[in-house]
Amino acid sequence: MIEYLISPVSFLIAIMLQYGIFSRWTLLSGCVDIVLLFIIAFCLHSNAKRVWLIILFFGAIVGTISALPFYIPLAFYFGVYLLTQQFRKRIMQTPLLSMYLSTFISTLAWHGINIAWLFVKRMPFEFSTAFFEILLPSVLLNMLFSFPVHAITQEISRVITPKGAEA
Amino acid sequence: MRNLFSLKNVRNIVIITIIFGIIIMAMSGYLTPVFSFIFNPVISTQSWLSERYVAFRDYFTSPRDMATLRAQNQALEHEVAQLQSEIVTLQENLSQSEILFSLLDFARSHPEHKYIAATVIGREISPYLQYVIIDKGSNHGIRYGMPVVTEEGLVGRIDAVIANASRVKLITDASMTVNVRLKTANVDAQTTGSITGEISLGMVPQDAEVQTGDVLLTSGLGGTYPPNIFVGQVLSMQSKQNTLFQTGSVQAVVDFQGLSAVLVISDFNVVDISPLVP
Repeated sequence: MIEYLISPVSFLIAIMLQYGIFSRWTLLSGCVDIVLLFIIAFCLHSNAKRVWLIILFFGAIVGTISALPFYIPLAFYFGVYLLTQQFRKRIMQTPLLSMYLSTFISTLAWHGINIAWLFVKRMPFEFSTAFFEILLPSVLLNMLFSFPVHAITQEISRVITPKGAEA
Repeated sequence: MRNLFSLKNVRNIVIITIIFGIIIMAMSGYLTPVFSFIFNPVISTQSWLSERYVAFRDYFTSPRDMATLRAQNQALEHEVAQLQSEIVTLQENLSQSEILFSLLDFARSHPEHKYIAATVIGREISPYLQYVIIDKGSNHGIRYGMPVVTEEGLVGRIDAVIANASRVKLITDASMTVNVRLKTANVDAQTTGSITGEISLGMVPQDAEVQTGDVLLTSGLGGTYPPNIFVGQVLSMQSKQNTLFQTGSVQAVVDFQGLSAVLVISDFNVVDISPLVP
């Protein structure tokens, strides 16, 4: 039960850090996505029964704040949840590997969705610019930050529910 | 008389004379080598003894002094940390004051509009979109479409509003087009943002003579922004024979990465010309 209380608070902290700090730290034009990393780590370590409900709630919050259409973050984070559950089932003994793989695939998917949305909205952009100046730096930063986010989330999970230490 | 030159008196007189002689010789410096020869070993011994004593005393008293010194050092370090913290706070206040003063200067120099000052509290999560979030919303009188500026120039316009916060679409966003006027060339043109936050210039007639460094001001066309707000300067221009218009790149005057405070022009009525667009 406590997980249902702690996780939204942790998520709000992640959102505040993302919007307030990490969105301003750019490598070329890419930046780290702490919210995405938190959601991946949370999905990998959470033992709550209705994680999907929490994820939908998180997606709704990001969808409300972001300039992207409401349904994009909502659907994307739910997709991340499904992906991490697959990794959790298949490579459950190595959560760090799951974290890295999920981060890599999710980041590519997130940027792919963003680019697709720009394409649908007919915004002028060059794919090479998007790839080299935003996508690649963002993937690199997300991979670098995935380990500390994973470690912090794992520790929180261990404190909240001792069972989480086994994940 | 006999008593005066007695043996005893003569001996005393000789002794006194010798003593005075020695004193006079000593004062004259004639006896320095003799004194050195005699006193140097004594002084050396005394120095050695004194040093050993001081060392011995320090050995037994230093722990107490060390504890005192450590306590003093700790207190001083604490004081230094406190003062450094105060310096940082004061520097932050000074920086904030400078920003507010410059915004105030801008508001005073443009008295034709009413402004609402706001602080930038966040940036958009998607790196492909150029938006910022400010800490003022509909409760403070902010409405959709209001232009946003800083003391340097145009920032963007309000894109979404809630009670206590708003989202500002920057002029660097890929979907943002601003009607501008090149001040020196005196021609109208358009700026367009990009996914990386760079601004390009377009719709410049082929016959217009645009120089690097030309100033771009809002033209007021389209009714989205008030006229004569500083947008940027021309960095470079490209002209091709088979195109209708020249294109170029623009250096924005506003530092969008370091954006911390903005002014929302609250009394500008945005004209919706979309029904007139064929």
